[in-house]
Amino acid sequence: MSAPRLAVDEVTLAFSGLLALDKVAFTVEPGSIHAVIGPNGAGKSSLLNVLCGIYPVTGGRILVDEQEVTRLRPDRVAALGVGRTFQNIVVSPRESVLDNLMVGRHGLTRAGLVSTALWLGRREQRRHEARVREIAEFVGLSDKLDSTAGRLPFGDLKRLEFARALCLEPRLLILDEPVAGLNATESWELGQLVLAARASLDLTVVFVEHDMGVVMSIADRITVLDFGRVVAEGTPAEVRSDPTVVSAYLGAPDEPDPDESDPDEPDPDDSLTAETEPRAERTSP
Amino acid sequence: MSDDTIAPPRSTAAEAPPPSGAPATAPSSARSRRVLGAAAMVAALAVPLVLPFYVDAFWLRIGLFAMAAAVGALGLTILFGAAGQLSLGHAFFVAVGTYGYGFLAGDDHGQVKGLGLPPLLAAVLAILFAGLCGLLFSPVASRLRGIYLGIASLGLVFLGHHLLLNLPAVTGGYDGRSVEPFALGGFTFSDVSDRLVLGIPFGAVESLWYLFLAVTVVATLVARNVLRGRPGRAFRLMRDSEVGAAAMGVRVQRAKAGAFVLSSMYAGTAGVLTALAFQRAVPDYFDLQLSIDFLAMIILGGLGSTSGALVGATFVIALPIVLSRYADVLPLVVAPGQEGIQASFAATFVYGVLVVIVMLTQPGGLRAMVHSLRDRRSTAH
Repeated sequence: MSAPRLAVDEVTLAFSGLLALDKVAFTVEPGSIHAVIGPNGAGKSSLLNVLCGIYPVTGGRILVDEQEVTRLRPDRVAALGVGRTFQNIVVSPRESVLDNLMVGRHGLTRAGLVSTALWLGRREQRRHEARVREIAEFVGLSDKLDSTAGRLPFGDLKRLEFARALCLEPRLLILDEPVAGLNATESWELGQLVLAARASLDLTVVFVEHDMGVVMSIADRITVLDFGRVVAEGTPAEVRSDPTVVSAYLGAPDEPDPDESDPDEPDPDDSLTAETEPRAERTSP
Repeated sequence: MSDDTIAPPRSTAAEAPPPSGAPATAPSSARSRRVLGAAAMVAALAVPLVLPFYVDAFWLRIGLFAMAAAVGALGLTILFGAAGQLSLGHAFFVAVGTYGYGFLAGDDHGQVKGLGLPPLLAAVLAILFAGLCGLLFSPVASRLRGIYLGIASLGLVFLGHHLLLNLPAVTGGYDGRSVEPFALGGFTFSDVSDRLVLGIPFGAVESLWYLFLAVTVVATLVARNVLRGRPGRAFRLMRDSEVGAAAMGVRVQRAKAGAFVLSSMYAGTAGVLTALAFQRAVPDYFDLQLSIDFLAMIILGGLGSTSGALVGATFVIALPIVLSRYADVLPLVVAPGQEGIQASFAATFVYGVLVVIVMLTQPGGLRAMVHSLRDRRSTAH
């Protein structure tokens, strides 16, 4: 199966009167990397949660290829090949990295309570473990598979989440601020990983990110949200020169630098608005 | 299970990013750890096997109660430790197992009725019945999480206690009912006169010891399989983030219901064992205190850990009995009926303090202590 087209068709999401998404519409072409940017509270994370079925939409439709996913439960959406990461790391901090990655295989494996209890899930598990090790190798976590996830440095946790999403063998990959909290080098590396994953796994990628360096360098197209509405859409070059976007988010006077200008200053959202995003926090240990 | 029931991974290894080096096989330290673990397991099995020939009935009886409790604790550690679903209703399902076995295996004694089924069949049915009760409660269990389920399940304990007192035909009411001894193919697990094995009188306690040991081993292995396998991983991510688990393809409500039913069956098994160990079922045993004891067991041992459940159960069960046995030697503690700190009270106090200490310093219990030692060792070299 190849990379799917994602169509977001007039999606509206209301939380008891508060309009989080207002007729948001855009299309993500098969195999492209699509960024969603905007200030805090613009509805970016809500949009991602709607895409994976975590929030039920108030109106509109979401199509992955021809398949409508609008009112599916999150596990059904995942089963269609939609893998995602979270803005605030969501892992089991007390489990090993390998265990955390193996959860990503849940939808691809079948061993239930009874068959697992009766020693019947082992062959399946071993086969999937081999694939999980390949994915860990790909993101550079092979030597940490036995470590407890909660003890990993933040950068590795971000990689772990990314790798776990790949463990679903997704066709559509949804990343919520994949480089938030990482320094410039780590951000660049993770950006390259996204590109490499798209190239070798044939993926469509949708991601939300504040780091304009990463957005401009890996995105094919960008959708700009504000107050739950799409205010601009286009290629990075178009968005960068769009006057409304420039004045609203990118800061009018000095152009944001798409390249990592200053690796000494690991500020992930340097070029966005003055608003500060609460830094992604670990869920525990 | 045949291969065609398994959904094939969507992309094959050929599409995978080329591995830049041969994947490391299991490091030798892991292998030696495995050998050590196997040796420890053999020892852990061999010692209980010969124990009845070396220790007296007092210790064996503690062992019976500990094993019965351990099976219940295993169920709760799957439910609460792994899946994060607090249950204070565990005592209810234990009671279902106990009285279920008593009713199904027992005969009519005056007012108290019984079906007189073969003991093995009665035990299996009692366990299944406890699972069925869990299934009936699972619509609640699958919609609530954590502490909220704890409060909802609290109601089961009171309901259970009410039923035990008000269904005298089945339960014997306030006085409880006697329990038919277990029997298997002509061999009765009771005090038969003149039965000697290797020169040792082989009565109820000795024979039940082996029965309980077999049940505990099977229950432990099943729990390990579940916790180490696909359902266990799903439970733990669900515990740490329901949304995260759902996004990985876990059917959260179904997983919660599954954990609850499985834990009810464990509690039912514990109930059957309790019935056999006490040879009597009395309603006052199945109160909230029993549910709390199960919680204390799994917290002390380490939530979500099978070995922790076994160790925690042994500790919580044995402590009050041992303290009262040695009350005259120990300072502060006195035997029942004397003035001073009663042994059972002292034991509650000791493990209460220990629970607080464990929660403050090592929330993961024994298991986390072992793990942090291992992590420290592996970073050292």
